[in-house]
Amino acid sequence: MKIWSVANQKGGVGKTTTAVSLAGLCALHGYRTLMIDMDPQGSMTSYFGYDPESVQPSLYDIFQQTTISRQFTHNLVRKTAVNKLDILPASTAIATLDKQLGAKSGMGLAVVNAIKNFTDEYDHVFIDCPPMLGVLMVNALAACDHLVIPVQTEFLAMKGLERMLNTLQMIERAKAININYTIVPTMYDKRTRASIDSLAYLREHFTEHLWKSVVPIDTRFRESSKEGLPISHFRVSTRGARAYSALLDELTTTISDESKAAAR
Amino acid sequence: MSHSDKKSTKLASQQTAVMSYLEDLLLEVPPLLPDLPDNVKAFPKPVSDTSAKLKNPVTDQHAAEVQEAPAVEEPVRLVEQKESAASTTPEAETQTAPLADLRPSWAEQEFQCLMFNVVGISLAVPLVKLNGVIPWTDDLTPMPGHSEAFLGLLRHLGKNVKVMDTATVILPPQQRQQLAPVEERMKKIILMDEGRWGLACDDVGEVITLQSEQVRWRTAAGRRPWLAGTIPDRLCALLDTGVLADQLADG
Repeated sequence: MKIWSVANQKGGVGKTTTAVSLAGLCALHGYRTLMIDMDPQGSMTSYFGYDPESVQPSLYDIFQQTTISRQFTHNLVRKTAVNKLDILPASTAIATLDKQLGAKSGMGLAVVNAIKNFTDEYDHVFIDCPPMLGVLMVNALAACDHLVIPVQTEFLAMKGLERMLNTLQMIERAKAININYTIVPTMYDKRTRASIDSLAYLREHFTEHLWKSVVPIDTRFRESSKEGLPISHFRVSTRGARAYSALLDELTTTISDESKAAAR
Repeated sequence: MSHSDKKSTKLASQQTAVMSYLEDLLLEVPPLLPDLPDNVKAFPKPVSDTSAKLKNPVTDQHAAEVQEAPAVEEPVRLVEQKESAASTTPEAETQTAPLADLRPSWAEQEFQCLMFNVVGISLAVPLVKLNGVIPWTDDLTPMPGHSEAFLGLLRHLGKNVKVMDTATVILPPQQRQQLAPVEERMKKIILMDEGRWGLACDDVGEVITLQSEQVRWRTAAGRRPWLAGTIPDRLCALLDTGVLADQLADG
């Protein structure tokens, strides 16, 4: 089972679209895929027709338990309209976790421990992160095998990326681990100076971890979310779907190399 | 009341606050203690009042269970241990030439430390140099040919952690012979130097916030280069983990 977290400390950069698109492609390829919505806004949950205001049980329940049984975690998972694609939904109540938990010891590993129960059931897990540092973000970063950081190709997003990498560095230090990551330029519009300049900036400053291609701006993403389907199951031939397909190929190659390196 | 009379809330520096928060969240709670209440497993909250007493985070109903463990709140044999290990002795200081400034860069501003106990000696490590605390395990791979302080290799999160008996590292040879067997003493392993080294210890205590002037910094390199200084208010030795890691790497 491979665990991917999709995170950026700036909102509106395409986190949910990236997580759903990659998860949809994995399901399309026949992999048993789970999506976990860890964003209190519940965009991913809404995407697949569940209401974050009322959905129960949800991710929130994981943080209420001291021990998490296999049966318990399995009861949290819902089906989607897509074969082999399931979701563990977010409820709005997860927005209160930071206030309720503070920095309670070990709560940054609650999701890590819950995900262990899915090892035999899923090939891939995609986590959609909240756009701010807190107990949910820490859980998502602590749990993942590889981090995907979507970055909208516009100037303010560059600052968000720097904040994200700083957070990542601190979590690596706190947990004594290395988290491998890939930066993915999103919403690229070749007609705008902002996109062109931002991409040039990314290529100049973040070469090592930057995906070589881009996810273009594509109105079909909006249409597919309206239908509650990943882009891969809505229009697989669109520019956006092709871009995420290429990204998934790159990521699976990267994570395979990382696994081999770790085994050596 | 004039504006200047109001007490301001003293906050830790931004970096320290975030690191402390992350380390608390990511503390690996021992899975073998599911029946203990949360407040026993909990990592102590940072405190800014360095004169506060160490608190025993145990509820009455579990008091009996923990009486066998070393009591954290007692500064056990601190005064005499200060003589033997936690302070720089005059002869140690005079053996080498004084250095201009041995204050580590992390101590230039307010900083936080995790306190821990080793055979009754109270030690502290700066949080910025700490990579985590994990429960003691016997599952160590022994490596022949190393120093007696080297307990073995521990596989943790894909890394090989070299676990050391902290007591053997810090105590003089004659006192090491009186140590109880390792498996009877150890409760926790403190990870440092990016998780490459683990310091096995009796127990961890609270996190304290210190100003640089609250530490009596060493002024010369002596026989204990790993000793950054002492904290008189706590009768406690402050470790320089960077130097300690280098010293351990050199055998």
